[in-house]
Amino acid sequence: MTYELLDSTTLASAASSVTFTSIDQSYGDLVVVVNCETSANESFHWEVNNDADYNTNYFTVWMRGGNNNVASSTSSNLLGFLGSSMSNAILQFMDYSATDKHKSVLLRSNTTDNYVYALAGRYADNAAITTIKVLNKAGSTTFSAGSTFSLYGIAK
Amino acid sequence: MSFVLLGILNSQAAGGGAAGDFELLETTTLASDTASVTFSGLGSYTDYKHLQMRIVSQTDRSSPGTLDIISVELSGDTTSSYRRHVLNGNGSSVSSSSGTLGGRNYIGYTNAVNQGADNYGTTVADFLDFSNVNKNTVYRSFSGFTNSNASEIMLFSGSNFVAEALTSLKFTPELSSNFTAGSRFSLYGIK
Repeated sequence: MTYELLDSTTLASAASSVTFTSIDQSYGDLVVVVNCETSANESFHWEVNNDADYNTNYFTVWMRGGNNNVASSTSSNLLGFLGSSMSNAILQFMDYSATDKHKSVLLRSNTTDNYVYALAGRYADNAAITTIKVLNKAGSTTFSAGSTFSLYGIAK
Repeated sequence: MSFVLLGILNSQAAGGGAAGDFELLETTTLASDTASVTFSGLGSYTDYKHLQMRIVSQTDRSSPGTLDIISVELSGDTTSSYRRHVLNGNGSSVSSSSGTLGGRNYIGYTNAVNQGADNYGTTVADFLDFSNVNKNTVYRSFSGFTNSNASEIMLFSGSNFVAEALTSLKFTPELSSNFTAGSRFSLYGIK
């Protein structure tokens, strides 16, 4: 099958992060779909392979619109700004199982009462992606119970 | 809302769908540097309503160039004036632009090999109702890359104001000679 659900989680209680582990290496791209509420309006982030060296290994450029303004900047591993009203995010990890490329990510995220984001990220390592984590780096803001997280594989 | 429609609306992939509703049609992964990549015979995919291209690419542009542009030629049309609109962020500001180009159109931005041999750019593009002969050919794409000298995130719309079925896609680097080995172009059909 070309486009297949690999894993899915619905939070039974609040959590500051969600991790997909032991990711099947037989697909070309991965897609993570997040539909969530959070305990506060806050920046959230992406992490792969349990590598928390954000300032060295992660690069992201973003643009956003909302609240009557637009902006663009860079960040280490920003996923976007999620909020206590419904939010969503879609992360696309391209050629995630290749071992001769940095890992490129295209991201879109939205909060219903703040911003719409488009982002391009890069994990500057050739290792295949085996785990993906979405989190609030500060750890103080949580995903609310009922938030859903789904991982899909796309064949290449 | 169906998973397939959700996937379209959420730009370049969400949801998924039942078996066969989103299918890999062709993939080209370059074994050596190559001047262009063409998918011909799209007329054989009319069982599908939409097409999606997923591209991981890099070009052989030399320094001081820090990025490259991916151009696309639709249905072998090298004479029409293609049109585009672009929204992009470069890490400092957001800008919007539009333009026309003869015989081809921009569809994404990507990395130049001189910015790191392992560093690629990515583009996901959707061609909606591609086989309809009564509509102008249009696409939208989502593209981005980062390197130590430039970073871009872009949303494109492109069109060729000719009402015809889309029969082929030809991708070329706009500012250099070749896509580098390892670049990957995958074509999907969506019902």
